[in-house]
Amino acid sequence: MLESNKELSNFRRYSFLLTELVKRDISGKYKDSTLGLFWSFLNPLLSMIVLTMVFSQFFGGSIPNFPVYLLSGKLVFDLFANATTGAMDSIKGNSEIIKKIYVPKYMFAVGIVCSEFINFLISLIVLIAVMLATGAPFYWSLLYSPIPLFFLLVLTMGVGLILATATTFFTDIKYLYGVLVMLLSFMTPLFYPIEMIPEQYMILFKVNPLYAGVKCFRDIVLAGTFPEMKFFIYLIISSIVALAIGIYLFRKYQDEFILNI
Amino acid sequence: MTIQLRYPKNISQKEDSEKSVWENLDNIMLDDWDDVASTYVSPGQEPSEITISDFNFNIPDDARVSEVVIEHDFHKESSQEPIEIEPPLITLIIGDNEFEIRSFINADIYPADRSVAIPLEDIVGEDVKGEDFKIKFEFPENLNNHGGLLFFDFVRVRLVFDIKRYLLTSGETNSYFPTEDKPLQLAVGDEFRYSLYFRNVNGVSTERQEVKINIPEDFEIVRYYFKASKINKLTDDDVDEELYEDEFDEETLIWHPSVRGKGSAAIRLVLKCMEEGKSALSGYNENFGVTPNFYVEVHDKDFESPPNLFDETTNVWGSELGDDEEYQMMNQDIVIEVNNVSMEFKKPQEKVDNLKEYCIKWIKRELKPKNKFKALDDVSFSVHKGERVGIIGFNGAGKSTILKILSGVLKPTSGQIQTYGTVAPLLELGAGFDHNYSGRENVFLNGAILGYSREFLESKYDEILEFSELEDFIDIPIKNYSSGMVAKLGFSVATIVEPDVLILDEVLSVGDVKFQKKSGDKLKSMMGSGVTVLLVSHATDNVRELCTRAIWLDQGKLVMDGDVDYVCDAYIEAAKKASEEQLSGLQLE
Repeated sequence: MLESNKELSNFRRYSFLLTELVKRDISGKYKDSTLGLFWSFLNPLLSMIVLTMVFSQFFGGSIPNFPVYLLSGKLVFDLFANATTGAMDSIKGNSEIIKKIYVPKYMFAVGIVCSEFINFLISLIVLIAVMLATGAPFYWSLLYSPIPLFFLLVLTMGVGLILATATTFFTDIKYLYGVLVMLLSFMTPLFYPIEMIPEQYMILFKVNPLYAGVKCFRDIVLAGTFPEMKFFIYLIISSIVALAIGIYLFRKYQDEFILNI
Repeated sequence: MTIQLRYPKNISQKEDSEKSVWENLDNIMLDDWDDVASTYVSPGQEPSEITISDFNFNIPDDARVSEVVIEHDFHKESSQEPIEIEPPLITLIIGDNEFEIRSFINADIYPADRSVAIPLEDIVGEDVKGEDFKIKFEFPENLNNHGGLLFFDFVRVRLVFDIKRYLLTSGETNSYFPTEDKPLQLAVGDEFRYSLYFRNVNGVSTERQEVKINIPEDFEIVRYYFKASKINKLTDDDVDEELYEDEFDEETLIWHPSVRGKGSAAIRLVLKCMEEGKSALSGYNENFGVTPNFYVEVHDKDFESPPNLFDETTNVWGSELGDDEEYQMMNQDIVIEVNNVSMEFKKPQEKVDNLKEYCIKWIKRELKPKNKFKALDDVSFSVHKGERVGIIGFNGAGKSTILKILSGVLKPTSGQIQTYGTVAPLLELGAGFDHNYSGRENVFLNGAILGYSREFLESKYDEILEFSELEDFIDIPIKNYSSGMVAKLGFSVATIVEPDVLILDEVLSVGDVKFQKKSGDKLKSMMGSGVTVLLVSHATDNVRELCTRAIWLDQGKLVMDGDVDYVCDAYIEAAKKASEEQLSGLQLE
């Protein structure tokens, strides 16, 4: 009890650091470009246009509103991929500070995940714009969207913490994870319909919590319903498990980070 | 006692038609039996006077010259009918002083080394430089009724001198000495410290010295303390005479310092201002003169005295602390507790930092590291509130490790550390500065990393800006700053807090000369206000100046913990020994 109180007050003490870190990450993201934060809109929009042009030829027929289908999946996936990769590098990237000054180390990982989430929220504007442009209906179910997004954030945070801990001890995980993210992007139906997948491989998709996240989000945005229960529950469970493992590992090994960076 | 031997620059003779003229006088400098100066002296004639000056004595200006030895030689021609000349009169001229001495042995046909010694008093190195120092030779007349040659060979001068054996100084550091233009500003009723140091720089004396301390009547002596360095202190067995302890007479204001070996004695007076006005304090010793005047300006009792940078508040002597009630009160609280702390590191070559190596080593069962490097080995100590502790030790002794543990950067492998109150580690200036950020944004970013809140930084922002002297540049990215400017900004942010415990790795001084003084003053004023200080330093001077207590670490172990002078002296002895051992080791190889 005392221990957790202490950590809470420590978190409060460094909460200003969190906002400063988020600010630094967001302003640093496109710091050398003239368009700046505008890239947060432009980036998903352009990649959506390209992917739509390419893949709507193949899958367009079976998916009603391909641009919205693609964008809703891709935004969620990019959030996960960017935030976990960012969290993975956050400890090593801030080693100069960690080595010299006491700072709660999780702040760096939490900071980058938060800033990527804010970036994600900004790019949701693009999704809304595309929905407007393609004449997609706006369902009341959109009001549910914060719930799966919250658990998506929890999942991302958990995986981010696990990766941040692992990479400080094993540098090559960084390269492995790059490959894994690519694999994951194929294991999540972003630009093709799930119906395309043969029955014997479905299990690979069903264990992928990211697919559950994407599915829940699409249910709300495209189908106008509350997320399908089994996916929703799987998302909740996997995200909480991931965060628990992440916090456990990070706390257990954070004192040894400094010896390895 | 040192001996110097030098040849002169100028040799001249006084022209006089009555006297015989010297030839080849320059040969006096050659020290060669064949080439010598010579003169033909007719019967009844005197040789010209020779004057020699401009010796290049390479001795300090303040060295005390106690004796001049003049070595010289003259001889006559070996002929059937030689001349007969008695020894010359030698006059040593130093400024306005003249010392005469007659040489000995009449001119013979053989060369002979003659030397005369002239004892001196009150002559210092400065007096014997250049033209102020001359030697004149006046030969008497030729007594024989034959004429002949008189030869003159070398003149060598030997000085016997002492480099000043004592130095009488006051104040701790010259940079904070209160001069007439910048006196110490105090109010009636204020107390301040005035210290005199009697340093035995060279040589050993058992003579009892007397230092008269000039204290104007405006001040009242509250207390006084003595401090003697323990280096090479003589014991009763070393000298026949009685040994003197420090003594101070409050009536006559005479202090007898207890210097008996290399090292120093010091007295510190705690004085109370009684009357308004400006006055000066000084110390006087008949051999070593007067110390610079220590000026104090006393204002009326409502005057708010500025922080006393001249006061040696940062250097409190052990004996003094015993009397300090405030200190005793503070001293009851422990602010830092270090219990059996050990810190182990893996040796770099055994570090596994990727999966591939990890798997290989796992298969080979080599994962358990064989030898670990112990940076700290079972170190325990506690620090009371208000103490100023210096941590000393050679490289790799574990000094920085302990500071990192105390500041929370490192967690010890075993043992506990407890700190109470806010700890401000000034180990790193400008940590996390973002080069694309402006100075203003970096103040907030860096402040956040140091754990300050937004409200705190906003309230202190103007103060930070003013101290950093970067008002004109605060809105441009710091990638355009010079490294000095970045350091100034970092220092200004880091020192804005008023911590309970201040942790320093070396005494920080940053920026240009002006800012270095300013930052030094800032640190001193932070230390002066009852803050607990932990300072790691290579320089024992810094530790002695700023700390009351020292902890000596060696190879991760606590060797000694105690009064700053005692520990520093022991450390210096050990360092000397170690370097000697290293040297002899090298020679053996």
